[in-house]
Amino acid sequence: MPVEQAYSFLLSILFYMGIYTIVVISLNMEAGYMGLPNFGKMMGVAAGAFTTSFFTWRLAMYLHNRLTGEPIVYSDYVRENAMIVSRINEWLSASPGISLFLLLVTLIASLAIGAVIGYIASYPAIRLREDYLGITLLAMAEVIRVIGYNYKPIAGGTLGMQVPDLFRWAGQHRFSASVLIIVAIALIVYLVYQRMLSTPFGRVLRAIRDDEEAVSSLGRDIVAYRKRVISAGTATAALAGALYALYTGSVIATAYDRVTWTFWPWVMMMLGGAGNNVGVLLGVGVFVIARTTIYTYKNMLEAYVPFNVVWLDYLLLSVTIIAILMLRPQGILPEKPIRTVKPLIRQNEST
Amino acid sequence: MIPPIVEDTIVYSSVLILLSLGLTLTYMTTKVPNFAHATISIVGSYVTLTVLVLSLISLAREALISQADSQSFYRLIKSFSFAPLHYALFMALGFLLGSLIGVAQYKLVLKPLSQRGANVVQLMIATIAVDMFLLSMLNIYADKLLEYVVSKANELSSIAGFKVNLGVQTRDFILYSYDYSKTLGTQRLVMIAPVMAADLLVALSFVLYRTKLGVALRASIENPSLASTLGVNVDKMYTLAWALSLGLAGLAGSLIPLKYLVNPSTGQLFVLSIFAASILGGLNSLAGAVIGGVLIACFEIPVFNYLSSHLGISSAYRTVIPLLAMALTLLFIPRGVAGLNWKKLFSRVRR
Amino acid sequence: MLKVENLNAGYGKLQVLHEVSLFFPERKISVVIGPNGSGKSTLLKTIFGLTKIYSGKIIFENNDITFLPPHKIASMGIAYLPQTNNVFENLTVEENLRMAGYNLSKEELEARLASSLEFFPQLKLYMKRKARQLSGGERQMLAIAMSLIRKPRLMMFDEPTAALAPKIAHQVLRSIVKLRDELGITIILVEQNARAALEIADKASLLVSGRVIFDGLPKDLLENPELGRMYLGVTSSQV
Ligand SMILES: Nc1ncnc2c1ncn2[C@@H]1O[C@H](COP(=O)(O)OP(=O)(O)O)[C@@H](O)[C@H]1O
Ligand SMILES: [Mg+2]
Repeated sequence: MPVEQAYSFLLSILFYMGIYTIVVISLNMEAGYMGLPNFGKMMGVAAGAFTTSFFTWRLAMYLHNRLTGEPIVYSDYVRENAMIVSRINEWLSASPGISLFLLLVTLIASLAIGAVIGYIASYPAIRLREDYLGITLLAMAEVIRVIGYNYKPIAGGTLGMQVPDLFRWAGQHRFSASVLIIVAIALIVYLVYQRMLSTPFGRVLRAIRDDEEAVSSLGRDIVAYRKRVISAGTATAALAGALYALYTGSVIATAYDRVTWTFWPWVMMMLGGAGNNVGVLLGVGVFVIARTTIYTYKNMLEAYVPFNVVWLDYLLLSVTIIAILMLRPQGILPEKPIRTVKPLIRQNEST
Repeated sequence: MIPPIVEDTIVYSSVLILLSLGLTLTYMTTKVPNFAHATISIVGSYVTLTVLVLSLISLAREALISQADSQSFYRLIKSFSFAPLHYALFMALGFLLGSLIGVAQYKLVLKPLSQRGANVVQLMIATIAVDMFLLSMLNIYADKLLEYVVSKANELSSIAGFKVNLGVQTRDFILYSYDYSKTLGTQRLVMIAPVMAADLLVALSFVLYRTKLGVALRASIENPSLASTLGVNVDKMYTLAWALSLGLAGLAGSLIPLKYLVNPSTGQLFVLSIFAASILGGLNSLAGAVIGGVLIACFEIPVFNYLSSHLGISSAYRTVIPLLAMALTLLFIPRGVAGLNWKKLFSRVRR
Repeated sequence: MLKVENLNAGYGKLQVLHEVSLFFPERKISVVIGPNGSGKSTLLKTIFGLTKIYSGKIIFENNDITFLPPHKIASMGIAYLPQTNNVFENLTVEENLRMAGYNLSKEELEARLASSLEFFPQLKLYMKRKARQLSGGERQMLAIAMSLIRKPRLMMFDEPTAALAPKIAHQVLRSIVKLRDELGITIILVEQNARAALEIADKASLLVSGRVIFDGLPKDLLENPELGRMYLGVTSSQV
C-alpha cells in the first residue's frame, strides 16, 4: 500500500512537472527573455483545454461513426456528453493507433488555436507600454475563461465536460503511460526552446528587454517580435492545457484560474531565475514538489496551521514573490550576462 | 420611484468612481498599476460585515437579558437596520483600514523594491503578491468571523434557552435588508453612495487645487526631482496619495455589500472593471477616472441590459463588457477620454 | 562654503563623474564650463542628491550632505535651477512660483513673489496660465523667477541663459551678479556661453569627460592658449 501511494505521489509530481515545464518555459521566453509581462498566461492553458473539450470528442465521434458503422445517437450533446465519451472510450481502449492519432491532432489544433488567441488577445496593447500590455493580457485571459464558463458547447458550462481518454489502451498502466508521454513532450518542448533561445533570436529578445530605446531603431520590429513571442508562448501553453485536460479526463472552466496557471508559473520562473532555462526546471521542481506535498499531506498539516490549509497556497505564493523580489530578484540561477546590443546590430546587418 | 436599473447605475458608478479615482492617483505617483486595489476595498466590505456582526450580537444580548421570547427575539433581530452612526462608523473604519493597508503597501513593498531598482514588471508582480496575501487574509478572516458568530450564537442560545441564529454569512453575503428604509421605499445607499462620491470629489479637488499640500502633491506627481529640489518631501506626498487612494477604496468597499454579493475574492473580477474605468479615463487624469467610472457603469448596466434584453446575450457575459471597452479604448484612444476629447474641447472653447 | 571631494557619481551603472574635487568659495561666482555631455549638469544634480554617488564627499558649510535626500538639502539653504524640466508644466505660473517658495512663511512668500515678479513683469500677465502654454523663453524666465523666490545661501544655475534672447541673457547674468553683490549669495554657474559667464566669474573650472582639467581664475583659463582654443571656441587672434 505505501509503495503504491509513493508511486502515485511520484507520478503526480512528474505529471505536474511536465505540464508546468511547458507553461513556464514559454513564460520564460515572454517574460524572462523579452520582459513581456504576460499576466494572462492561463489564457493559453485554457485555450488548449477548451480546444480539447470542444474538438477532440467531436473528431473522435466522427471517426467512431465512420469506422464502426454504429453511429452514436444523442439529442443534446452537452448534457449527454458523458454517455458519448464513455462510448468513445470503450472503442478507443482497443485502438491505440487511433488514440495516438487523435492525440497528435488535438495537440496540433491546440497549438494553432493558442497562437491565434495569443495574437488576438495581445493585439489591443501590443504597441503600448508594458503596464498596459500586462493589464490587457490579464483581462483577456479572464474573457476567455468567462466565455468558456458560460458558452456551454465549449466546455459544458458550470458542469464541465468529459474528454475522450486517449491513453486507455494502456490498460492498468494508463497513468504511467500518459505521464511518460507528457514528460517526453515536455522534454522536447524544453529542448526546442533551449535551442531557439540560444540563437540570435534569443539575444534580440534580451536586447529588447534591456534597452528598448536603443533597439527601437528597428522601429516596428519590436512590435513584430512581441507578436511572434506572444503567439508562440500562448500556443506552447495551449499544448500544456490540452495535455492537462487529456490526462485528467475532463475540462471545467473554473479549473483555469489566474493563481494556478498564471501566478504560480510566474513564481516558478522568478525563483529559478528569469531568462535562464535551467532555472525554469529548478523553479518548477521546487514548487511542484512543495505544492504537491502540501496538497497530499493537507490533513496532517491542519494540526499545525491555525487556519484552513487551502489558504496556505496563496500565502506561500505571495510571500515567495515578495521574498524573491527583495532578496534575490535575479533568482537562484541568474541569467548569464551576455552582451545584448552588439549581436543585435550584427543580426540587423544580416537582415 | 426611481426604476431599479437607474438606482443600480447610480450606486455602481459612484462606487466605481471612488475606486478608479484612487487607482489612477496611485498610478500617477508610482507609475505601477496596483492589482491589489480592489481587494483592499473588499477589506472595507468586511469592516461593514464586522460592524453588523458586533451590533447584532450586542442587540441580541440586550434582548435576551430583558428575557425576550423566541418570537419577539427574532422579530427584533429581523428588524435591525443600520443607524446613521453605523454608516459613519463603517465608512470611517473602512477608510482608515484601507489607507493603512495602502501606506503599508507603498512603504513596505513598492518603495523598497523601487529603491532596489525593480522594474515596472517586477513592481506589478509585487502588487499581485500583495493582492494574493490580502486575499488569503480575507479568507482566513471570513472563516474566523464565522467561527466567532457561531460560538457567540451558541453562547446566546444557552442564555436564551432556544436556538439563536443571527442569520449572518461571512461568504457570499449581501446586507441589503439592513440598509432598507421604509420611508424611502428603497435602500439608503441610493442616496448615500452618490452623495459620498460627490462630496469626496469636491473635497479632493479642493485639496488638490486650492491647498498648498495639494499643489505640492500635483507637483510631486509631475516632476518629483524638481519638487524635491524645492524642498518638498516627495516620499511623504506619495505616502499621502496612497493613503488617500486606498482610503477611498476602503470607504467604497464598505458600501459594496449593501447592494452587491461579496466574498473574499470579489475583488478578483471587480479589479478589471476598475482598470477599465481608469484606462478609459486615460490612467493619468483624475477627471478622466471619474468619466471612465461613469461610462463603464453605464456600459455594464443600462447598455448591457439593453443588449441582453434585445439581442438575447446571456447576463453572464456582463464581465466581458468592461474588458471590451478597455480593449477598444486601447485600440482607438490609447490615451483615454482625458487624453483626447478634453483637449479638443478646451481648444474649441478657447478659440 | 561648498566642497566636493573625490566625487564618483553617475546614473545606475553609468559612471559620469570621476574623482571630481572642487571648492566653491563663499559670496563668489564660480563658473563651471565644459563641452556637451561632460557632466556639468550631473555635477549639480549630484550636489543636490539626485544621482547615484559611488564614493566621495560633499561638504556644505561644514555639514556632510553627501547622502541627504534632496528636500533636506533644499532646506539647508541650497537652491538649484535645473537645465531642463525646470517648471511644472501642469501647474499655473502662480502655482509654480508658490511651489518655489514651498519652505517660506506666508508673509515672506508674498514679499518674495512680488519682488521676483519685478524682474520679469511679463509673467504677471500669465499668472493663471498653465506653464505648458508658455513659450520656451517665457518658461525659462519663470524658472529663473522661481529660483529667485527663495533667498538661499548657495544658488546653482544650470545654463540659465541657454534659451534666452541675448538681451535678456545679459540681463539674467547681471541679476546673478546682483545676487552676489546685494544678497551675498554664493553662486555656481554652469554655462555654455562661456565667454560671457567668465566675464562675471570669480573662479572657473573646466570639466571634460567627467574630470576636472582646469580649476583656477577665469583670466588664466581665458589666456590658456590650448584650453582656450579647445573648449572656449576662442581663436588665438581673439586672445
Ligand atoms: N538621467 C540620465 N540617465 C542616464 N544618463 C544620463 C542622464 N543624464 C545625463 N546622462 C549622461 O551623463 C553624461 C553627462 O551628461 P550631462 O551631465 O547632462 O552633461 P552636460 O550637462 O555637461 O552637457 C552624458 O553622457 C549623458 O548621456
Ligand atoms: Mg547640461
